[in-house]
Amino acid sequence: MFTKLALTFASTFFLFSGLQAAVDIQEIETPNGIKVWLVEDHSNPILALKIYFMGGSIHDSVGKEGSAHLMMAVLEEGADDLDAVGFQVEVEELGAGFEFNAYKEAVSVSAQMITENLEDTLILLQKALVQPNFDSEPFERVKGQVLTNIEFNETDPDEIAFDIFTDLMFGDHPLHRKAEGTKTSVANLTQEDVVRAHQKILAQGNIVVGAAGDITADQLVILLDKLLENLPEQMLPEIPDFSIPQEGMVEIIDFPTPQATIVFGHRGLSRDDPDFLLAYVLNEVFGRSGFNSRLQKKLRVDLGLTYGVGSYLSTYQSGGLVVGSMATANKTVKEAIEAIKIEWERIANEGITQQELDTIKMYLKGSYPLRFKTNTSIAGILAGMQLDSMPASYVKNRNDMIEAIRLEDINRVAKYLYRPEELVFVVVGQPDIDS
Amino acid sequence: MFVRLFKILGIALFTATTTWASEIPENVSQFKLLNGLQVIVIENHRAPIVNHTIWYDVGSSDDPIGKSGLSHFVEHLMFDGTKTTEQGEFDNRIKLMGGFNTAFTNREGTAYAVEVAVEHLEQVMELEADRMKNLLFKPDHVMREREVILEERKQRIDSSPGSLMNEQMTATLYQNHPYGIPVIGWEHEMRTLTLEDAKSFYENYYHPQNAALVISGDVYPDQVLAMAEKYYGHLESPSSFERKPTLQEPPHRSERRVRFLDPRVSTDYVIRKYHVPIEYSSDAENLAAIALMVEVLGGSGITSVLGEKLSLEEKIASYTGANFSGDITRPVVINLYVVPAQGIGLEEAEAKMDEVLANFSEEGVDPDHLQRIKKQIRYSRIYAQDDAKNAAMEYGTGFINGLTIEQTVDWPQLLLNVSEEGVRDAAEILLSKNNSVTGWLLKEVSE
Repeated sequence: MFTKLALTFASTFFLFSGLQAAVDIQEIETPNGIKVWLVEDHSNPILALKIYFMGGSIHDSVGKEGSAHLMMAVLEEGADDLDAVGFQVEVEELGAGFEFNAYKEAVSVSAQMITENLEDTLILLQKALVQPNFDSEPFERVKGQVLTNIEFNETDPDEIAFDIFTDLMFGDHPLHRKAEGTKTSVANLTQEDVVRAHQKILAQGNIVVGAAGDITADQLVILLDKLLENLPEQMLPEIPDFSIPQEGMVEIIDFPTPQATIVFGHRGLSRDDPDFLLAYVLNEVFGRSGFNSRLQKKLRVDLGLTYGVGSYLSTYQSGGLVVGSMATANKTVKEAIEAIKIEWERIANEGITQQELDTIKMYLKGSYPLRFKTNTSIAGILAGMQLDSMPASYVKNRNDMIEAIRLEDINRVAKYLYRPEELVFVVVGQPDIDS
Repeated sequence: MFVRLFKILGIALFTATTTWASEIPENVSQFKLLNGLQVIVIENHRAPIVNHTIWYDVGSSDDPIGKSGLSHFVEHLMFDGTKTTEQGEFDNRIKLMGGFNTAFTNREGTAYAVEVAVEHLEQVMELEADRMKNLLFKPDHVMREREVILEERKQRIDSSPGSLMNEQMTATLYQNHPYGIPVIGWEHEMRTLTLEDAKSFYENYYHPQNAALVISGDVYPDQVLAMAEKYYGHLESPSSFERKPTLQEPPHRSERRVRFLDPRVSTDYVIRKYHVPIEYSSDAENLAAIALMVEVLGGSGITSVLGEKLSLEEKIASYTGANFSGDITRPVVINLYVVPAQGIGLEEAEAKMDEVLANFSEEGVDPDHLQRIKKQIRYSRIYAQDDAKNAAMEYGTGFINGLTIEQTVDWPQLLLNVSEEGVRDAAEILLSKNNSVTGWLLKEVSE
């Protein structure tokens, strides 16, 4: 029921894979140096835009955790001559949709608009991005909302489990922070802090844009330069590399709930690792949720222990994680952990079979075009690929790259990607385990 | 008036018998096969993709007394294999096509949706038609899947104080109608579900007469019809089948309250649910007025009435909102909620909410606000075409709610026709507290 302001910067948007459908990507750089990829589609009078600014919660100053997130949340609450209500009314009049999100390493702006209102919508968006007011009324109100969300998450077993898992993985490194900050840090944030975060992050230099819909390249270039002009130069602090502990453990957090949440995993790969695609395909076999993955087959189908279990690769600029999660009754936690460990060992020792590889290849190749279904999803893919420094040609070549994967390559990766002895389990609940 | 008639493969097809209130859009066609299967085709050539959804007119309202959760249990078992397919094969075959599939059960219906590149449509039909008739129930699978739905209940309901309170409030709201029983079921009844329960439920409700096939995407009606005839046409429907009688709510004569205490609550909040008397909500124009009234009241944060008054002016709420669910043929419920700002108690939050409701029903709606919402309704129709799935959901939901395709088509226009007086009349529902349940979600503090 609540609009969640925060999302975790999970692996979703660099997991695109290849495509055969006719998606004609135009790679453009505007006179002001903004990089934008466009897929034109004039079949419906709408346009979707996705903008990423590199810079997120890892760049918050110590003690000011949550400032990038709060800044993004207040952008749509009044700008230039419009107060919070005035701005929202204008959005509604134009039939536009804006969404502002903050993640660990980037912030994003998603916009959809009706082409007859294109210029007015972008003028409005420009006000939010470049001339936000950060007045005290919306500031205090939105800060209160963020505090409510933080409080809400405090007793959510999934949130607790992921928080503790993240802390165990990243230690003191800024990546351990949640984008929205802590109760204490957010309570202490001031209007000046969000102004500073705005100057720091919504700045020239590290902007990528994806656009899809009813617009031509010529129109887009002019409108984008107007949209993003007058932003300061970006000056982000350096972020050190991180190292992840390599000792397995089971951490139990006592929490009164009939069903325990389990989050598990260990170190993984960064998104620019040459083995990333292999690791991604491998994990699709092992833990893709909602399908007959190995984990799902063992824990749901064979043992009936859970409604759903899955694993994914979470990646960051300088490294990554293999992460999984599930929920199971308190009395079956022990059995579930054992089963996960066995699957982990099995894939590390034996890899996958040729048949599993062939099946996942067919799935990945066949499903790729389906991702390019709507303007919104196309714009998101185009921006995400640039964020991950991938070439536009990847879309064309990706299915061939998948097809070319050999079993020996993938099983080479299986040997080191899954590390049963390093598995960290965080259990939130009241499991029957004598530890 | 616009009637489509198709004669393909020498089979005479269905034409509408009622007068159509409005033209159905050019890109929408409907047929009925001789075995009773309704087929709705929505052309959308935006991408070479098709959405194939089969809707069964059976949901949790049809669960036998003492067997709550059975319709949802059967949905799970539909993936368990047939006379000619293995357990898991349905998923695997869709996966090999690169497709996505999902299924869901609600109070009125059960739907099985697959999205694939259009060249795979025929294979999907073959698989889906197969499990309409040939599902196998294997004792060990059935018992294990019962464990899975029990885990699902724990995950969706028992792990969340908010969901538990909602369940309590809904059970309190309905005094006679099965809508008071949760879709997933009461745990003690779920534990008693058997293979025989599932099998007889499946045999009674899963057949062409009780289903609608909705195909949306890069397809043409004659092509879909020929395919549907081939794969679904030979399936038999029983001459009649048993259906639970439809119950109605008696007049509600007393306001009800739920105080839900749970140590896992971190943020207290208040929710109000109103049951709308069917004499009012069964009229489509009234329902449209409810929809707009709810949108004005709490559809858009600070630009809606609750948000403006409680978050901006009074500063006592961090979040507010309103929504409704139901249809002209089904119970309609309006939900309002207020999450208080830091330091504000629920008593004050509820009192202020009631003040806003009283003023709103007296003062009515700001005409500019109503016009703005109507503008957005028009725009949302354009956005909806971006994804063929949206139209598929609209028509499918209409089917399980017992609407004709024309009634589904008419709905947006009805919304646009709502007057200021209509909104004001609809707002009177909010004053009849006897029709309501108010819930307080509270953190339980141990001594």
